[in-house]
Amino acid sequence: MNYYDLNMELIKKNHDYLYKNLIKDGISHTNRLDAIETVKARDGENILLITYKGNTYRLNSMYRPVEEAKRWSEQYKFQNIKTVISMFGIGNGIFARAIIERMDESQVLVLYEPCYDIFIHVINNYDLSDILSDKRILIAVEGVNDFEFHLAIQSLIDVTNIKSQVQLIYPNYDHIFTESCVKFFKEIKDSMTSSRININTIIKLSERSIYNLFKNLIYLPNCMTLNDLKNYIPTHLPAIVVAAGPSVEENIEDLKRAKGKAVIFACDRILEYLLDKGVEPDFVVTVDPMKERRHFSLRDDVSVPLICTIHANHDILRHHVGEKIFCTSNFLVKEILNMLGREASNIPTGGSVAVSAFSACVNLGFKRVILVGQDLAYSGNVSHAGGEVDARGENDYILIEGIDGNMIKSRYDWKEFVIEYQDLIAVNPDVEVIDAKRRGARIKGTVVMPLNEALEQYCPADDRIESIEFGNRVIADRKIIDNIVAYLEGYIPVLKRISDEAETAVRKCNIVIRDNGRGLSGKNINDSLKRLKQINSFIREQEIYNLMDSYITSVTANQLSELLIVSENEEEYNLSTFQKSKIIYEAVIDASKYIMKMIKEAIEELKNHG
Amino acid sequence: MSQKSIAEAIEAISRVTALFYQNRIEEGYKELEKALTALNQMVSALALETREGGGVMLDEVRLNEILTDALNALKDGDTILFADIFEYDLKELLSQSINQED
Repeated sequence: MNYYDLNMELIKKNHDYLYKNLIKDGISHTNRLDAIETVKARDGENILLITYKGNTYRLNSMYRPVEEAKRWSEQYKFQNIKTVISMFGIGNGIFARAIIERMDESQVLVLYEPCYDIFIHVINNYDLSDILSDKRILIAVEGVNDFEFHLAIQSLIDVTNIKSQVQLIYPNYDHIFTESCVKFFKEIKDSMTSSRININTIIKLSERSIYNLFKNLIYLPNCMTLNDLKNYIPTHLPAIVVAAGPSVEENIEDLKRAKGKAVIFACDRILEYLLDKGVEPDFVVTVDPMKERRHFSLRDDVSVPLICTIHANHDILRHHVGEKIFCTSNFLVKEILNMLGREASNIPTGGSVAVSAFSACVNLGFKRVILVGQDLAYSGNVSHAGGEVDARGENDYILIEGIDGNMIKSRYDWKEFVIEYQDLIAVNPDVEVIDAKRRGARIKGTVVMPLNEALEQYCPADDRIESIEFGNRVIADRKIIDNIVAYLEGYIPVLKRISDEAETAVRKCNIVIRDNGRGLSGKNINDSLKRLKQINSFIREQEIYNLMDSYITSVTANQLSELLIVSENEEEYNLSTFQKSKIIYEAVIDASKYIMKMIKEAIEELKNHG
Repeated sequence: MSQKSIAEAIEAISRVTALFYQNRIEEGYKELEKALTALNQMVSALALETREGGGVMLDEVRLNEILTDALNALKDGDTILFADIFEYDLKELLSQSINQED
């Protein structure tokens, strides 16, 4: 088997998305080289020579390339657990190998090759089987699967490793492929920002999310799910997602015209404004666990069907009198819906309700979605429809690209939402997305078109619906409710056991911390670590831990972010590990008790359910 | 005397090549200044000892060739080739000189 076949077989086996894109026609070659060749170094090793923009570069030592890479890699230390190492440039793999040699099993290497030509030359002329088979390695090639690089970086960074990221540049690659290098680092920087925002969101929302989850369980017996909704939704019409940006004001008359010709999904904050202006949306969407009622509607008679997650603010759900349509599929909701003979559905929920509404449209099967009021930018100092002024528009803004190519005032969270939209659009190429605004942030992948034109073009007058009817559904009887109660009761002893185990762990940590000054033996530390490991395994194996995880993260983010950072001084590291672990176990105890309390309340409410 | 200065020159060369291999170019150039001083001192010591009729034998022609190659690499901005020449050609030549004397 030649190198190409060998390498391609392994790419197919271990890097599916890269493979599919490599064999696809129409790959954009971002860096077309003038020449590329493989020559022999003095020690017989194959090395790369490229000519790009009239300059010739040798990408390895002409004497001993493996030794060169080894020496280059020696300046880096990868001692922290779960470190994500991102490297700009793969070349012929010699430098990557030098890094791999120094990695442990918990670490991940993300290799980004900015030059398609180099990658193709290398898979034709070099044996990369060791790199391509290594499960710790992700490979992205610009113009082929760089989107995978974006997703990988985003998904690999979390609270536990955000402080121990490493970025490397293949020597000289930054000078040769400068533009791509800037892009590479921008991507990493944006991902770090996203991770920080995610962590902050968890910190801010986790306790309230758990509260809402258990308070909202009461609605499950009579609810619909997004899957149920699919039976009643006319997806041949376009969907209109109305967010709360200032530009909604100029689209109100067109939205009135759109009623019946498209399915209108209002985001929570814009509902009141639309109702005031005489536009009754077909659905309203809310996902934020802390969304204040005044940012939804203070009316007690809102009957517009509500699409929500189980974590959405209970206060809003409590005052809403219409149909509730859930789109959460965590283990608890899934199991309860299963008892009710329904199938859970899920949509990704980031920080933006509008992005969630868009996801819901995609999930429901709409092939054309029109975004209205998705400005994601200030209009002067006005942040939302209805003239709402945000002082940040004056002095705490960032600049992002507008739909006309000029830079406009925006916010960090809005920039994140732009990225979330772009990711969703990229993974749903069969959905046409129209951005119906005349100013605001550019969302790549959308077609910019005024709403009146979009309605003219996509909503023929003779194709309209009067209303969306849901038909009759079976309502849960007492027996099913009793089964749900029994199911929830089953978690009480589990939570009690988790709490007991965590208390044992705290005691172990206390002993080690107390004895530290007296020179604790390695055996004692190892015994304690072994016991803690058993406790960790037990806790993590419990299904209910999935609910506790965010709560624990929220109260121990500082400890978690440093737990995997390994200190040079072993004694110091051991002590600090036990100190941090103790705080985390204390959070486990708190989380268990809090969830236990919430389950008991939910059980009582279900028992009284009429 | 010359043996000591050769050993010092080898050490100075190693510091330069390590930095260039690690792509720490600016630091590498700073260290190169020191290495050139060490090489100068080595050549002076060798010349003195030769005049006195003893000391280490160094292939001067080869030394000139190596230094010319290294200089050309630097002119091209190829610090890796420069490091290779210093690490493998120059250090080898200097080590041979020490070994000859042994």
